Amino acid sequence: MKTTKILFAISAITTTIFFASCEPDNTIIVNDEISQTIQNNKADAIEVKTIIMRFPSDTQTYNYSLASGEKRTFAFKQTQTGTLLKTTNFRYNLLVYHFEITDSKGHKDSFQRRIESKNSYKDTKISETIVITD
Amino acid sequence: MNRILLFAVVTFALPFCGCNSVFRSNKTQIKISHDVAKYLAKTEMIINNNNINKQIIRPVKIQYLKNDTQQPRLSYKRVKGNVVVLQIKDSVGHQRHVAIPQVELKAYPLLLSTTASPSITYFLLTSKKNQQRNILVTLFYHALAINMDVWIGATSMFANPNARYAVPKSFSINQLSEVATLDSVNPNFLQKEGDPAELLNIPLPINPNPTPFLTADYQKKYQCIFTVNSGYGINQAHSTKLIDNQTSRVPLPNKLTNGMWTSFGLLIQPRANYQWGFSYHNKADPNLSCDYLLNEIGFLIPFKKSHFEIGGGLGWGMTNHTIGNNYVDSFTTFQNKPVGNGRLLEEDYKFIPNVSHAFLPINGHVQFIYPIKKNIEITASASYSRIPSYSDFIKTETLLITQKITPTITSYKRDELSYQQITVKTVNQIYTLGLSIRVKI
Repeated sequence: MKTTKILFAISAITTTIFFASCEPDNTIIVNDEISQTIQNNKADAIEVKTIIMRFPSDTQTYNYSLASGEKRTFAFKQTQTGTLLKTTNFRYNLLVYHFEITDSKGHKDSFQRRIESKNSYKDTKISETIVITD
Repeated sequence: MNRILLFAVVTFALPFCGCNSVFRSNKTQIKISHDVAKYLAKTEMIINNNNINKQIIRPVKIQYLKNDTQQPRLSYKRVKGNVVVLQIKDSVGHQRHVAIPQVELKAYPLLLSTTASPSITYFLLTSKKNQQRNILVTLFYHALAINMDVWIGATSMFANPNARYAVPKSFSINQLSEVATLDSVNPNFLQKEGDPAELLNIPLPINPNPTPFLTADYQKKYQCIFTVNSGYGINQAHSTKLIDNQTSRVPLPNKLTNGMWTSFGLLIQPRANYQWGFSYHNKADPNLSCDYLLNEIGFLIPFKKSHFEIGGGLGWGMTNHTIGNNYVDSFTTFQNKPVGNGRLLEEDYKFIPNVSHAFLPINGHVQFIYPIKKNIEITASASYSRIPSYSDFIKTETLLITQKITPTITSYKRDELSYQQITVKTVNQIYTLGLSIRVKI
């Protein structure tokens, strides 16, 4: 009788494990890590205006000054989770950084950098450092 | 690896399973002298199992072997019982009962759990693909295998209860007086023996040469041996590769260092020339944890007061690196194509500590065993072991782009192209010289 109980218990565990193992796992996790750093390697301080446009409709403006040797980083991090069946819910990220730099002598430079997330639901890890020198 | 595994399984399955009930003859034999054979040829013989409640009777035949120098044998189909009774009846009806000792034979259980399961578990758990599912499959497989083993094992034991009993090889009937029938109704016999019931009072056979493995009443005895071993292992890396077709352009050292190995073993010696058991082995290394359990067998060859043992084992082990280095290098190509001017491809390998890997160790050894006291022996051993070592890294391939925006503004961009965990595997051949103490329990 004891043997029957043990055999029954083993059979029950076996069946449970079998059915538990049948659940499909289609989860996708996509990580986007984008960072933009501006570093002042000039002998004097600089004034910087940064406009970050995250398409389609998010825009932020930053005005700041960087002393000699100082840097500032704008980091963007996003984790998206979905399933293979609903990949249309994933958001594609496009960030455009517009910089206007004025040095201590009043000289102005402006330029634009563009970083976008990879397609095919791959992780994106891109970092850019802009170095300003004399 | 598959060929090595198959070879090891076959090598160890043969000695383990060769004595299994499945492969045993269904008959057992008693050695007898030529005189006894000549006398018994004129009699009728049966064997009974000496059990009143459930009596089994088997006919007994005399077998003459082709080679005349060998002793003839009495042969009968196996029957369960530590002492069975040979009943001899001559042509005039006189009888004699002789007690025959039997021993119960043990064998390595030939079941899924004891043969295929370790290898299947190894391949499922070491596979890098579908690891979570493989763990569930492993659990499911083991539950199924245990289920089948319990049913098949129990069924075969109940179906064939007599197959495990045999007459010890050292037992023989050489004297005619041991089998000569007795005239129980002769007045002389009554005077001499006192009572005809004496015929049923059968003396138990006594082993004239008891050994540590066969007692005076012909019962098998085992010796348990506890061993402690320490040795120095010199390692030779046989091959290094990345598993699952991964690649690296940066050399990733992974060889096991030379060093001390210790082991503890519990062995069973059922016969003078054979032992088997389990031993646990560990490497003393601050950078690495490497432990394995070996199922080993050994054949003992007597040499004067001492013994030589030649043996081997196959087992199951776990290893992980606790401390390791990081590596990085840069290249001008990616996937065999140039990355372009102002660009470099950086391959970065960041060591991942404490990733466990299962492995199948293979061992062969020779030991010289010398007794120093009744139950204590010392040994000097030389062994060869084949053990893999693993190192795990996070490999990232990053494109480094340098761009001049203006003469005073430069962009340094890092774009990570791939990120994956890679595993370096080195097969190590370890030659160890060691000393050990064996204590017979």
